[in-house]
Amino acid sequence: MGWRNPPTPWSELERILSGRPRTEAQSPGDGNDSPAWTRRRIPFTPTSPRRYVPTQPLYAELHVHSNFSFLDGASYPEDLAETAAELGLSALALTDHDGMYGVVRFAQAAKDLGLPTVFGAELSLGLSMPQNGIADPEGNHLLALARGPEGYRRLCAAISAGQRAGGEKGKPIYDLAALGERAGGHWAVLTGCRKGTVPAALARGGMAAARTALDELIGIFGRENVVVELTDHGGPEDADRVDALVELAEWARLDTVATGNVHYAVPSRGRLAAALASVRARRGLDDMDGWLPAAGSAYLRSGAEMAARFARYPDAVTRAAELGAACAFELALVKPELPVLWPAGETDISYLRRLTMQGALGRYGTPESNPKAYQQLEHELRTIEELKFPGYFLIIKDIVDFCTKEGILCQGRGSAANSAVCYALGVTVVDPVAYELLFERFLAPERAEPPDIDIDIASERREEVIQYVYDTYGRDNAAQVANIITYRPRSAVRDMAKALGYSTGQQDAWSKQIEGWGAHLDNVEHDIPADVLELASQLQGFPRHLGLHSGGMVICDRPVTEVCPVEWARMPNRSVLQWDKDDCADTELVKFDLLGLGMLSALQGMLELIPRYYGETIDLAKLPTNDPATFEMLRAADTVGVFQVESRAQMATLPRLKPKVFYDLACEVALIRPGPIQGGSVHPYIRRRNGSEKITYPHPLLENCLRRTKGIPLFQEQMMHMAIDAASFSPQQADELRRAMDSRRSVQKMEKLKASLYEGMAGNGITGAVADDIYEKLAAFANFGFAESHAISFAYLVYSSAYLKRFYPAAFYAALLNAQPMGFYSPQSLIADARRHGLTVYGPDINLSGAMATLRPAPPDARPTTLGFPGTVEPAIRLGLSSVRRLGKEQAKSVEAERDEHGPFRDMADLARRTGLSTPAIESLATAGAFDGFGLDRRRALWSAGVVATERPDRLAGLGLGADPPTLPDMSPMEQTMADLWSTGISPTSYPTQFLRPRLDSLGVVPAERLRQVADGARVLIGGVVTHRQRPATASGITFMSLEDETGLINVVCSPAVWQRHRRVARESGSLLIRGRLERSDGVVNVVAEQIHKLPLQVPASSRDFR
Amino acid sequence: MTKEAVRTIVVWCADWPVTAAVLAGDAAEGAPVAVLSAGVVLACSAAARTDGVRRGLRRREAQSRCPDLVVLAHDPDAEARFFEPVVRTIEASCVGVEVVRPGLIAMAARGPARYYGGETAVLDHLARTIPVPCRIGIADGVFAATIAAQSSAEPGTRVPPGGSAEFLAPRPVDTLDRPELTVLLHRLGLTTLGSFAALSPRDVLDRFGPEGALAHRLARGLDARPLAARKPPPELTVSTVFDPPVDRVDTAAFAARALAARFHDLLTAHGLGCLRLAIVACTEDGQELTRCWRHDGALSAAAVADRVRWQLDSWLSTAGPTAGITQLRLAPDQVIDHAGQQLGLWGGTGDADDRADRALVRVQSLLGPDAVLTPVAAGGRGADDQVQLIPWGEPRQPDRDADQPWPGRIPAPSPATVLTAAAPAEMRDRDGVPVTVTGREAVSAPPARLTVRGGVSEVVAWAGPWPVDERWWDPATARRRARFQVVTADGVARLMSVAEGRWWVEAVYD
Repeated sequence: MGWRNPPTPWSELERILSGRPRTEAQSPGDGNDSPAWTRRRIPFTPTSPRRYVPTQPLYAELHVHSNFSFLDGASYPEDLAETAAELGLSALALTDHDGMYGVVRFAQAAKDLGLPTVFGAELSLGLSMPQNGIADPEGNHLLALARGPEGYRRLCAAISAGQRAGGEKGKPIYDLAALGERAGGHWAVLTGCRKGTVPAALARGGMAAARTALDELIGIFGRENVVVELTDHGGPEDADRVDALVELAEWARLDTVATGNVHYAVPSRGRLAAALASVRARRGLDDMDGWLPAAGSAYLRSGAEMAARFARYPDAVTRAAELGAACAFELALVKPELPVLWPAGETDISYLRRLTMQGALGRYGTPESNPKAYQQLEHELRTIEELKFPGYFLIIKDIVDFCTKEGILCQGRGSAANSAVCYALGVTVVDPVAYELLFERFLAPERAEPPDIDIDIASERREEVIQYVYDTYGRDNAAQVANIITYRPRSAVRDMAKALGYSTGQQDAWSKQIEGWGAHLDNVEHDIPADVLELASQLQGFPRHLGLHSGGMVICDRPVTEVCPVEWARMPNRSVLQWDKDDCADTELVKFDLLGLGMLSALQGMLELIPRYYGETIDLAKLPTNDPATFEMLRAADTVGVFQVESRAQMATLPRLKPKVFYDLACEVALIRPGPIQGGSVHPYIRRRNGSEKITYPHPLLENCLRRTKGIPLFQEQMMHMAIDAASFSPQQADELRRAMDSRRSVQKMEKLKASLYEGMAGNGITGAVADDIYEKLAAFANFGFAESHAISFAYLVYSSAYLKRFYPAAFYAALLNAQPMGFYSPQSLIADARRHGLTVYGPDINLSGAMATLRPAPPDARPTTLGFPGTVEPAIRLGLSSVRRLGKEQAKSVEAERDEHGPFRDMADLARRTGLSTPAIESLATAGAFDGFGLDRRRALWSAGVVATERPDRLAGLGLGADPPTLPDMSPMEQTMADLWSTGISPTSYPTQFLRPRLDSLGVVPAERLRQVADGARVLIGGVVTHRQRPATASGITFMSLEDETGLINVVCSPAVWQRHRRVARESGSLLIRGRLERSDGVVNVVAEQIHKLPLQVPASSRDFR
Repeated sequence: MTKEAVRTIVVWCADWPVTAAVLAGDAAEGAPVAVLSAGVVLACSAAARTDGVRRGLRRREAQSRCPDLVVLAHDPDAEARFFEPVVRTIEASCVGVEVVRPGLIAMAARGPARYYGGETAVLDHLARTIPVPCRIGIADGVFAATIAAQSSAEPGTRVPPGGSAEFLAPRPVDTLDRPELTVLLHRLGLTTLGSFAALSPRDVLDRFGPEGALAHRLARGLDARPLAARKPPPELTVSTVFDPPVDRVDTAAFAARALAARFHDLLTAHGLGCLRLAIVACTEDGQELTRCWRHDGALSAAAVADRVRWQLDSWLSTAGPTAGITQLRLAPDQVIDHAGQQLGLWGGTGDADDRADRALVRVQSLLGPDAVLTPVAAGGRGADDQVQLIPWGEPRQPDRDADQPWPGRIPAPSPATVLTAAAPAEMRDRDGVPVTVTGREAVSAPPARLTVRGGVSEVVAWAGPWPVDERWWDPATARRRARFQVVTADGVARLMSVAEGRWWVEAVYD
């Protein structure tokens, strides 16, 4: 479980909480568990559930591609099952290419319909490379049907092995002979479509070749397992081919079966299938014409239709039904267990207890000195044992231990993570006893949830942890969870427009008209042509390809490859299941989330820099609790660079929310999310915190559960408590309710739960409007709830990063630079913020800089800093060589290594000779001022760079051309700043606007820092460099811009009308002059733009726009 | 020793590709228009510029800045054609006119200046007579004159002799249009042509190489090439005679291609490249038309062919010669040494092919290029689209590739008679009910009686339906039908189809 932003948009939630009338909006997520957006699949609901009776003549369709054949198949598995049931088929197979991607959905849908299911796959033989972009994929196909669960297991293993052997995504390699062994008689093998080995041989070499190919199959899989497949799509040559195959079967004394080689449920999907084929081949339909089927004939047919079509071979239809009946089974998989990590002679719980107590000694001291903590530990261990979770905790512990051993910063997060056990085990650094976090809120025997601990890992080093898991538990037993990338309206419009031959510009224009991925095609203004629209709306939601879940891994005690095939991901060395998290959950595979977090990399960097330059060692677990200076800084929204609370929206809320203690930060994290804030609402919670709104409760019964959040539900856990308290639900019922609401499960189920909720509330005397109000709140929050347990773990990172910024600012900024790209601000804005706090920053220097940013003693004349411990001098920040353009991290490191090994560089020629850097790299270094130490000004150095670059490591020294530069113009400070920005993106000693200040003053421009003194509502002229342009989907077209000058940041709000009027300048200019009205509330200042002009400042555009 | 730059007049029509498009009726005057070449904006109209469209932008970006942008493909033929009247107007008053590209003309100033009594007078005269908006620059050397034209208001700017360097000095180095060089110059603080020009040529050559040295010459107000371009020997001229005279653009263009190839081969054989090309055409009534085309580097065979085609197109389509062209001559006006491509050691195509080609070309020259067609096997599913006729001389590349599989194509043996327009027919079952095919590809009843042009015959054998749903994405060429092979009692086999309930005979097997 993770970060879920659900179908209900924030504005809707706010509306309900504030009691305003309903408006319509939707914003589903991308299916990944990233903090901001995710969504759950809505389970299949059959439109007409009924008792299933197949119709006569009996027929089972055994060759079926769903849209999980990725761009080769134009119906969902669910739709295929439903149509098959309508047609009265006796069984339906799913045989996607090289995988079992759709089987969980398929099995669920068919089970609900009562339709018998057959599982198989079409294996691609003889691929030399991935086949996307190729009009006619190469190689042959082999259609294998599992004869039962054992056959399924073997087929999954065979596909996994083939995918593994291919060594890259989309290129499985099977050894045909070995497949026979893997099958072990548990598969029925069909001769397949025109790309099957037998039909292909028939087309190529006639009967003789076909006989050879068929003999080969018989030799490998056994006569009793090979079936000759007859397909007739109504082509001029199909009847002849069927005759030839029948003759072949008679010759080989094999059975024949009729199939439809189905690629979609109904005829009308044929055109979408053709469009998909051209997307797969990466060309327009016009160029694909010669490969497309003549007509859309690959749809599901009834027994009667097949009997008519195969009137000459009625047995083939009957035998399809017979084979279907023989192979059909219900997909109920043996769930693998977690691996055993405890030593012989112990049990999982005894081992966990031992490890916990060992750790507790260090964290809590002896039982005598801290009885409360040990009481808590005992209680938790009992619960963990009762819930049978010890194995889960042991794996978490194992992964965290690996990180600790390797010096990789990590932190547990989630319901189970907020336990004293996890604190004792070193999984988290938040002491739940000290922070009075009640374990019951997170983990209780009544709650039927699977355990939930995500591990956040320093993003730079997450790969090491993932590889550790593969190495430790084995490639067969551990795999990442997939994320099925699906078509959204934008991509659907784009791909279909491309297929239909519209130009790239038109594709862009149309897909842009559908802003944001929340939009639906039917409620957006657009001028997309009908042909594109029709295909695109069919395509919406289709799986596009398999991606990686952000960090989920399944770890088992036996090969998971036999439960679900595993294939390579695009990322090197990552193997991934063919199922997404919902499929895994449905089959009860336990998922461990190993998520990369940039802030942990940054914190790790700070923890490494602090001992070296401050002479202290920091333990994140032992920071002073509730440090007042840190909270003061947070309340002042002085939070550039601080985790989670640095964005424009979040900074605008801190002064209103006024956090004072750690728990406030958890509330802030749960509440102040991009969605909510950009919804533009002043949240009722803030009003209540500030006393401008009375704290009330919907009903006295809810006071207990909502008291700590002022009567407003903030956390997901609270909503379950509301159901328990108001309607006397059992915890299981509450959980069921949450999930039903969350995923909008079947309407009937929801109605049933709703009825019992109202019944329960009535039993407690809650009826009428109050009951409706509670129900609405629950429904809204089910979708929005940010789990308190996760909020607390994040809050600790907010607190730690804020604390380090407050007291070790130089280390803070340097580490943030080194952890880029991350966060909301560009390196230039981070450094500008550092300078505004009085820190000294040096540019890169070839002999003094490391590859990465480092700290140096501050110059004697350094200004006092406004951050850091009073009375101490903050070190200066020295930018790293890797910040220089055209000099990558690797090259910078090799320069540093060369210098460490053979001493400082004597001059530029020496550098060129020893490192072999390219001319452009040396030129960039020159422009960045990295050769100032050689007594060369930047321009002379730049001139010489071109000439000394003839010095190479493989030439004799001093043979390069002479490098005596001519006289070149001196650099003005402004030019120097521009050179800094050009070469490193950072101007360490100045901010470009400061050189314009006299002119700006004369125009009456108010600098950022003076805006605080301007009266509310006054008209002001402001100017600065644009750092951000944002247009949140929830803000009804308003564009937010951030401007920066040498004194600070300014928030600009731009209405759609103003944006439209000035859009050229507003969008294209790197720096702007804006006239507008100042708005102030609770210490937050915005400028509402009225006029926008270009500011004549040649800064390279580097703003972060519309991300 | 520095050779003085030649006094040069440059006439520049801003955004010429756009102007030509407006003249051609492809775009309305005043509309936001961009002309694209290779996906990048080559020129745009003032209206498009107001919305932020710029040269060099990618199509995507341009369209996003200006949503109602009219995007047109670069059409050099049309640009040259519409430019011809402009050139002719100028030629009426000046000699030695060279076309650099459609929209930009250069000529030596000395002659006209003497005739009109001074450069300013020439400038005034040209500004009065040229029929399209343009600007004129007069300076030492083509580069300076071009900049003078481009940076001045109408009508133009005259830079006094010897004043080019001074004139160029304050302009940004970006004027050189060499992005890689100028980004370095900016970083060195050399932001103006003057500051760049002030460096010593030796230093520049050391630091920036030959390409930099060339730019340096331009910045100093000198001509691009210090080497004296040679006057070529007369034997390098090629010509061809037309009998009968040519008066159609396509025929002329066709002839131009071969002539250009000969011309280029000849120069290449001498190890020469052409910088300036004179195209000369003689007409039936004794006119001789000449035009010079100028180019920065050596012209390739294709570039020569392009220019010849543009020029003939221009002459013929803009009331040029009053009679047909009888002779066409290509003369290199300036050449440089150029190590070009040598002919293949074993020669090219065989003599026989050559002779056949000449014969066919001869027929084409008599009857027009479209009169000589040759069949090429093409791809397709129907009987009628498996052959395509292509004019001789054009690439024998069918629109639909025959090598693709075309699933569902009518198999061999192919019908001998393919009807150019399908003949309507009626098909009924045994009970006299019209036979139909359902959306799920089922035949309503077996076909029994066929009626074609009033004649009724019994169906004795049939195969099908073979459904086809082709090119549904393009309404103009879409085909949705089900095909049948039908043999009737009279022994005739037909390829038939039914579409929207109506039957057609597509072809007959004889």
